[in-house]
Amino acid sequence: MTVRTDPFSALVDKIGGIGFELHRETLIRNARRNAPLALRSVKQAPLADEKKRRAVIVVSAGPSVRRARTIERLLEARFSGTVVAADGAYPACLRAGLIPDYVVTLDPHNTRVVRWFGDPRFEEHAANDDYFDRQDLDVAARENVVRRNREDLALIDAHAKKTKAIVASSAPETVVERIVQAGFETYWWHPLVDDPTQPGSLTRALHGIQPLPCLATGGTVGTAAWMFALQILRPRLLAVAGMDLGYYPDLPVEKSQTYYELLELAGSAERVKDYYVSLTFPLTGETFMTDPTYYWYRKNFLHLAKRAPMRTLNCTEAGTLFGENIDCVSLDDFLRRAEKENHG
Amino acid sequence: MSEFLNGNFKVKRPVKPAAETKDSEKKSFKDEYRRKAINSVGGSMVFVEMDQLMWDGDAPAEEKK
Repeated sequence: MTVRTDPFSALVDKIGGIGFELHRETLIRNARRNAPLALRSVKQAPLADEKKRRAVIVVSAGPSVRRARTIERLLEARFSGTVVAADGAYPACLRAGLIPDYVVTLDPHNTRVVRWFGDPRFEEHAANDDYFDRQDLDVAARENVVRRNREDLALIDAHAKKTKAIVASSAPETVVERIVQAGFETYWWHPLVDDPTQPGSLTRALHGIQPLPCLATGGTVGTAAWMFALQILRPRLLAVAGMDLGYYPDLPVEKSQTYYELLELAGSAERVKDYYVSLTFPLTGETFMTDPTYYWYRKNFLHLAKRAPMRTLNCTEAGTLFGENIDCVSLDDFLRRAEKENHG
Repeated sequence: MSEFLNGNFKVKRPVKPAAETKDSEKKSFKDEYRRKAINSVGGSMVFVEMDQLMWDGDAPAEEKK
């Protein structure tokens, strides 16, 4: 692995601390607001029959889901195990005709997350935020997004009751309102954000608001969804897909998610390259680019995976996620193994 | 101008020249943008590395025996 020196590593090292100071009050505030609604713990989430639980796949929202046709291939193989969707992957699952057994949500951002459940105030929220727009500057695409949101609202209203919502106490008001409106059954948990045995622990403070189980998240909903599967579903075979944690080599760097923030830090388009590194994905030999944010998520996932009681199959077929206790395999390989588990 | 305008009192605090104020404002805007950029990079979630994967409160004293 080639890692460029200081600017990149220094920023990765800073991210955890920044987040803690910045978002602490939001997590406490949201936990308090959600407490009266958080009547069922994640441990009470209904489990499928033992056979269906043997193989679990966690679908995240990385670009590989579209490029590798992950959802379509699950449908074509008639995968009979359990599907856990990170919130960003949920509408794509429904549009393709796959109804996840569970959808996990975590992020406290008040306008950027609700779109994954259909946003009744989409145009209002999108008007003041270019986070998604900057990755699609085409006006026609923007109009498509508005129409797509309307379609998602109808789809989700029709199918919400078939998927259990696994909701973090950090979920914002907009998401919780929409989830309740759509008719999801909800099961609640706290993010395990720091060591609860340490003085001033934020995790302990959250637990004190309401005694819910606390799950480590690695800072991102995909990792949280994997942790839910690992700790609550406890399958024999556990896979993740769409967990790219990086960008395909043909994506212009200006379209990466934090390009403009990094440009601000770097001061020039030439020096912004100091904030990206490339990693070679072992299964395919392809090289993927990653930025400090995704590298931090990767670092956190690897830290947790090392401590996990079982191995994880990474069926993303792309990206930067590889390391101890993780086997990079093709999705087809996982589907074959899952089929064997089902008939075993 | 001084032939037209005559002050009839002296101010207690000296007035800073306009150029110095603009420079310090520029610096603070730049710092503010930089701070916002760093804050945005980490996403909106908190996570500090630790060894536990799950925690459900402290075990009651009887269970620890």
